[in-house]
Amino acid sequence: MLAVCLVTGSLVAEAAAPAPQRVISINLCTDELVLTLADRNQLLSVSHLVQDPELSWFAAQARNIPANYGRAEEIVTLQPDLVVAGNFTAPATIALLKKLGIPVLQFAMPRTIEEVEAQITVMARALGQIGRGAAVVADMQHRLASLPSLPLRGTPPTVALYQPNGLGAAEGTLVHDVMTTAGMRNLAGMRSLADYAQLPMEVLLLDQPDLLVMIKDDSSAPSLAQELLRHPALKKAFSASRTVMMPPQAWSCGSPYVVRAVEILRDAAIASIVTTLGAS
Amino acid sequence: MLIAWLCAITVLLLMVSIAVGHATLSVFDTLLEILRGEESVSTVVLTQLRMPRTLLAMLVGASLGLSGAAMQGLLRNPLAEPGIIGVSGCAALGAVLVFYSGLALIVPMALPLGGIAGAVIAVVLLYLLAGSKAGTLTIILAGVAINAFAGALTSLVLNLSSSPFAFLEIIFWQMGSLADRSMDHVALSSPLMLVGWWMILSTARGLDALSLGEETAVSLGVNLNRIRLFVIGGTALAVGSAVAVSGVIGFVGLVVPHLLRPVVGYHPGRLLPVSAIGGAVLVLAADIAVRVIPTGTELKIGVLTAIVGAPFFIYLVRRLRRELT
Repeated sequence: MLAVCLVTGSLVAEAAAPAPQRVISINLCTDELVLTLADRNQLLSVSHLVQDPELSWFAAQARNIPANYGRAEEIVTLQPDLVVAGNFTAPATIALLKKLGIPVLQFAMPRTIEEVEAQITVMARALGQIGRGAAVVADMQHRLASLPSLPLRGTPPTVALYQPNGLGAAEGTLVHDVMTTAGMRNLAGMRSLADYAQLPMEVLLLDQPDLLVMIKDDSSAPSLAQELLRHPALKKAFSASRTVMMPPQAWSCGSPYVVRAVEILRDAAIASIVTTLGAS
Repeated sequence: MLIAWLCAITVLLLMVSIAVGHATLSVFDTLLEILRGEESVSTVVLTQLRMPRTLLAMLVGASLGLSGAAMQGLLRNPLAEPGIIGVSGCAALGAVLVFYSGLALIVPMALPLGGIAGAVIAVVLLYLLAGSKAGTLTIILAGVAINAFAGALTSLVLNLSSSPFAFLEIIFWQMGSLADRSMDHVALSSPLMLVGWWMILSTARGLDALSLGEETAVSLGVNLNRIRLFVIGGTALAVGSAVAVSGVIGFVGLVVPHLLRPVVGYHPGRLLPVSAIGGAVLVLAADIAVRVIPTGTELKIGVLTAIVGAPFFIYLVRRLRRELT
């Protein structure tokens, strides 16, 4: 039911129909799903974003697949039998493709790990790879079930995400679900901010979460957004041991790698509880 | 007397600026903690977040007010203002080039120097385009052209940056903000700003004489070239380093001198120090306002100063037209 809700747009391909053989993905997140599930020879093209190792762990896998920039012209000339995209990917392009009778399947941003699993199932069915989809989901569930358990004593550590530009992540985001699944309490969630709202640095400092999650950034291109993360106040208030560096590729999309994000945060949660217990 | 009043308002706003923020904390207790030499999250918020933004608001505001008054005096043009004639825009371009190329990460001082270089180029271009005896309109039109060009190049540089955040930051450079600036920014920009202030303030008597016309000023023993050099150089230093840390905050240099000019009896020289303090008051007040107005993501300061300043600019243009006809 959930899976059906997540899918909008017209999906011509039925389960019984032959699997599409000329698939194009024009969105980073759908790129990651098709690269997880499709046979190489089913894929005509993926978006250029997924070929950037700073954005996606699927970059190596995508290197030899022709890249697209999501423009209607390049997509139409490739004559795809299925285009997959995000819900908010270039609405004008999507509308044009639909008008030309090209089947388009759109995916929403998943808000929970459960929704990620549901999307994998939907994508697998659309690609005619139901078995592979089930295996991927089963593997995710197995890894989540075998996370190291939290110490029995002690309270769950509080945590806040602080991204470039001072954006946090509140309830209703995948980040929030990952934090909760890892056994943490998300401070931005308790402040009832909406989605990815800006978290003023003053508030972050005075809230004093046990752990601060920052996005690991390997790029060297400077920006004011990144400069904010080097603010002296932040360094004074949060020691390195209270900071978790998260590789952005783990949870920027809802790929199976989201489990890796949970694992990283679970380890940090355990370490934090152990330190607090040791100190008291 | 006027200076005393302005200083009193500045001190009052300074205290408000320290007390107002996105988080509530007891300012008094925190100040006591600081005096006792203790360190807590509250003291970090006060000394590392609110202090730098308050200091920068005063420094940047004073630089803009002072430069506006000096340029209006030198060019004898009521519409001359660093923002309108493209000095701020070019300073932003200079700072943007230095910042996004990564040079400022290696040599932090390059950031204000980049802004200053941009400001110098703008003034030189303005003189080349408009000539030294240019009329009111010519200077403004030349300024508009320089401003548009600098804005386009800034946008281009930000679009070409490989950082995914850069292109959104055009709004910071064009509208200005003091949010989450640090003491590092104060330390980088303030020495150069102070040198600029000194240069401009030293021209006070010359500007007074200049208001009687160039020939009279020369006959009074005023060295015109020195005045030009000091106003232009001082403006470039003050505005260039201000814009490099705060982005372009428009209209301050226009509104403040105009409001205060009648109060100082239309003496361009006496207008300089009061415009500096007036500019500090205006930017401090605007920076408090953006923190108080509940807009979710903080408003940019330039939004507020433009809302006040643009209608004022239109009013000035209308008045000028009446005087000319």
